[in-house]
Amino acid sequence: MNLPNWRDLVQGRQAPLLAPAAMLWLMLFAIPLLSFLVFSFWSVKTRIMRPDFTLQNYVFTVTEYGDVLIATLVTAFVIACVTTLLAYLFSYAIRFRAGRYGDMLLFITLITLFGGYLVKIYAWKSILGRDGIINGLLLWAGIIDEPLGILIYSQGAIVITLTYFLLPFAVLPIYGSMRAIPDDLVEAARDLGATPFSAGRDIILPLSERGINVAFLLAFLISVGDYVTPRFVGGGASMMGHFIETQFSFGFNWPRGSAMSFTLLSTSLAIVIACRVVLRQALRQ
Amino acid sequence: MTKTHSTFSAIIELSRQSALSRRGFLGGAAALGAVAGVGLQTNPAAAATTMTWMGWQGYETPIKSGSFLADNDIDFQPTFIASNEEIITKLQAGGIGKTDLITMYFGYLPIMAEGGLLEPIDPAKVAQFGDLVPQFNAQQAIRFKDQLYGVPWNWGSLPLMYDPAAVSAVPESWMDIKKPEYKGKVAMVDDPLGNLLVWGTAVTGKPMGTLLTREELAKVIDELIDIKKNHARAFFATYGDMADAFARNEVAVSAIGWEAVAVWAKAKGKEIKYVIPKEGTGMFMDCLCIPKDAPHQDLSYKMINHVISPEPQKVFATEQSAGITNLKAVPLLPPELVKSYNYSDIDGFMQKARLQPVPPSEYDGTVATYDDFLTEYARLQKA
Repeated sequence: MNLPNWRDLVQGRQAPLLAPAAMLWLMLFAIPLLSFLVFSFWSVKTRIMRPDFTLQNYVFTVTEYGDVLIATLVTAFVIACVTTLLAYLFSYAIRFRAGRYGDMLLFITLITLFGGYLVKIYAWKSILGRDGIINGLLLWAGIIDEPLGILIYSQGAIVITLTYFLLPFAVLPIYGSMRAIPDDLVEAARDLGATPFSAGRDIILPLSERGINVAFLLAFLISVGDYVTPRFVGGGASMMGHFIETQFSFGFNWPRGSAMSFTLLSTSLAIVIACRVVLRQALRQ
Repeated sequence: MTKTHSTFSAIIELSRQSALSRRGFLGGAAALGAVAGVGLQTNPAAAATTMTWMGWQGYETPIKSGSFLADNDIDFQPTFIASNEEIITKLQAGGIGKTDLITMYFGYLPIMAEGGLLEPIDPAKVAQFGDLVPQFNAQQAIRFKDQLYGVPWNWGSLPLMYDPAAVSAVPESWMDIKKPEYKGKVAMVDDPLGNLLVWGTAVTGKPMGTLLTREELAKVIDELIDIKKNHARAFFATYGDMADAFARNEVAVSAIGWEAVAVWAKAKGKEIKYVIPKEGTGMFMDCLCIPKDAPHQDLSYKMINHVISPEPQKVFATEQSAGITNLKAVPLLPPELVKSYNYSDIDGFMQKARLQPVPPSEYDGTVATYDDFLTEYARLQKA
């Protein structure tokens, strides 16, 4: 498909049609983001922001919150990997294994999107709690004598809750990529002697690359910025978003909060780009 | 009813058109909009003034009591918070100029006034200001640069909460929560100032636990980190989560508390008790404040006058089991509530539960500042 170039869009008949969307993009995304970038170099005195140009906020972020930053990135990376892997397997099952039940499985996936974010968090609190379903089942089966306390208020609870929340968002792009793979291509590979595993590895996996990238990106970026789930099921395990919120609220320090946000944003983008390069290299070998 | 029926008919008509042209769709939508518009016009007369308010859930009951809202033709729009700090966030993130009234912990008022988030209050416009508990009106923290920024309207303490069915004896000291029998059964709440109000005194023995040296502040945070790592079930996000944890029998004692937790736990069928340990505790006093550039300031004053008048104070005290500030309302309260809050000896109550200011903004060479506290508290959150 040939995409129109920028000059054609601006000079051509599309310009008036594009103007409302461009204005919205500028006002709701570009200008606020640029404002916060500028704020990140300002300083605060007596609770009021002062125009300035200092790198102190970035130095503070690295020295005081470097450990939280790394922990947040690691947690988000684990969540993104688990979510993408599960989403890939699920999408593969829907597209190539489930036959006529595929649409029903996809519908069930979409249904889970209707639940609210906080509702899902509280649902997992009930499931993982001491008197939750899992402990109840384990007690009923005689596997444990008293409820396990470690299921909730732990790093594992954060990974489980966010993975569940993000799974539908990851399934959709991967399934979309797989739908575009012609059945003929897989059948031809099988006819030429490829095992199901090697057909999956050499045909389906490389052709799903774009969907995998998008799924990983969504799962990673949403979880890296999340601070609500860790507060409610992590039992005090804090991620970077929580400390950013603190700076913007009773810390009265928007410049520091902005510097922390941009540090998190830039390191997250670096990881996403690195993962994309590694995935591409791996699939081409 | 007729207009509603017409609206549905228009929707059905639109949905019947299986292949709508763009013009047809726009025409249909316009017709639908017109019908809906007519429908809206037939709604009951809209209130003249929409007033927005931010505070804890339950704090709105005195505002809604009586006929105040109807008498003043007010469409009341409450926003509930999970922490006092949330109000500061919301005001800074666009709430200024759109919010008519907030309820706020008194200790934050000087910082908020300094940060330009509040309007000064004219005491002459608060008719019953003189009827409020004088000890509360005298607090320096409700003023900034000699101007009043908050009207005291309710108060309470941060007691040690415990489950009588799970403890062998009523805890006498805050340090009792570190007994081996409570390991993994201690409830903590991520309430920055609240933790300092309680543990500042418990660790240092100073009556004002918020006015500490930097070394003392570090010791307090070290103690809280020890409790979090070695004794706590969880560092709960809200007091509501703490009430849930008591109701689920996940915790037996708490490292911080609020009388309201017992009310919430009781609603879930769990009897929780509370006690002020021998070291004493922090006391809170929430004030009514007018945010900067509040759009209906005359009505804000009217609302303040309503909330602190005797009948709404009685409603709030009895429904929330809270302390109130208008002394003329005290005779209206049930005896057990009067006894619980010891209105006859408020000075005595304030010896055990103390009103404390937030740490100062500027370092004087001795007392740790508010920023020092935030940096140290982040150590607890990270632990």
